[in-house]
Amino acid sequence: MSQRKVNKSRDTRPDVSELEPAIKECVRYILCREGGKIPIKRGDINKHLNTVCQTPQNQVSAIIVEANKVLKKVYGYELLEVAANAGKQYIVILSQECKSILPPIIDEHQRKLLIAALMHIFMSGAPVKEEDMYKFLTDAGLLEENDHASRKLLTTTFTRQMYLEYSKVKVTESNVTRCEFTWGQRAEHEVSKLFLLNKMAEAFGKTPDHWCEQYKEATRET
Amino acid sequence: MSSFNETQRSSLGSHDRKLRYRALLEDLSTLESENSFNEDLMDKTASAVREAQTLLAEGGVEERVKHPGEGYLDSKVLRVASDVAVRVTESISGNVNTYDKHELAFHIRENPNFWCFALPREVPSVAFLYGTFAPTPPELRPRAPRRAVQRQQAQTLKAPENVDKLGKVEEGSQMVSRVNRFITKTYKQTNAPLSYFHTVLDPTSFSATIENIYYVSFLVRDTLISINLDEEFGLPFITPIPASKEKRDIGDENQFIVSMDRQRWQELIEAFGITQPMMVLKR
Repeated sequence: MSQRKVNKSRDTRPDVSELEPAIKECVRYILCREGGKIPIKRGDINKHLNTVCQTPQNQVSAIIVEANKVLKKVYGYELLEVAANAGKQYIVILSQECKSILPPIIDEHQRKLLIAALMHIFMSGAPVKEEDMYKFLTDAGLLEENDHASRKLLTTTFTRQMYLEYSKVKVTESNVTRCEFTWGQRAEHEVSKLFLLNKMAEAFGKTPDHWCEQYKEATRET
Repeated sequence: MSSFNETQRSSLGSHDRKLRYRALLEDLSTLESENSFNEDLMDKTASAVREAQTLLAEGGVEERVKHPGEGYLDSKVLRVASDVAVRVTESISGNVNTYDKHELAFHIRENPNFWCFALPREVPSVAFLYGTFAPTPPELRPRAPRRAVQRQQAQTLKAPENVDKLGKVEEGSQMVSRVNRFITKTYKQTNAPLSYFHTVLDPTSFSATIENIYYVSFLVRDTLISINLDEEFGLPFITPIPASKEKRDIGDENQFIVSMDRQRWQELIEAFGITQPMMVLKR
């Protein structure tokens, strides 16, 4: 019975009317999960659809494709698959750049920390050493001497949200590991480097090409 | 003749080398005017210097003495190459140094709100204007059982009554051991099992009889005595169990009690013809 259904949906156009409730549920689930900014696992979508709509596993891919269409048409969102250690994961970004106000539920201090960190990594043009990052943020008045909660934001929260990547690097000669920050996958997709450079230019009253190397980097991606 | 040939060959070689030196110089000077990437520049310069070196090795020391022009050209190539290197280095350090992290940090410190904005392709989180629906009722629920627990604790603290009861039990167990002593003593004197009903029945008091039955049942339970039905009369007889005997030999049956009411008590006393209580205990 189910075999026949699948065949039918493959032969003709996907039988959307039959999957309609599951697609709606999938859209709703992604909308709710998105607020946390933590990548949504494919397995979680599977599980949710299976419990709520009794959707068989082999239809989930088709449902996600349809749900992505709805998300794009109605909300202007785009579901993006990101590389992960195990299984598929998705993040949600806007399908095109858009000037929006900061959502009220986002903590301003957190946002300042994130922007300063991303800015520093981008302008440095290389991975930023952990100590260097903390020193920079302290100089910027965003981090206190023993503010471990804020440091954890960087090493854990932003990393889970895929804004930053926090990795251990082995220094070969001395056999000591040190930690570095780089841009995470979400940052690469959500933030255009030219946008940051324009902010930089606005702040210091210069043209973006004042920072020659960064300008090259920023214009290369567009 | 041969020496002339040699000289001619060496001067020919020298001429050739000079031409190649000149070509290198030309290349390097055009490089300088070209606006290519740093990496290309460095690669080309490096290869030019390498070639100059092979040219120098080709000639050998003697040749260089004979044709000083070669040495001059060689040094000129090196000089131009180093010029290019200096220019490349300057452009690199210049590029990186335009970002001053202290300057940026200072700017952020001075204008924190400038550096707080939504990211261009960031999805604005979907949230309720006034947060979620007030979650007060669920919070109240766990509080009620907590109070109940506290009350229960207060009740259990009323301990003294139990102490009285403990004392009573103590009295009871004392009576049990008295009964035990009586039974063992009598058993030793007569060297025969005691008749159960003769032992427990007290013609003067029904309640004393009940108490005796009760005490004896405790002794059975603690496997201090055993009660067996006599084969001849079909009546129960008491045998004390010596302390040395291992308890696991006795088996599982360690309960014995008889039902007794006033009528039965009367009938038994008459049947056995008991006039005096066999077991007299201090009550």
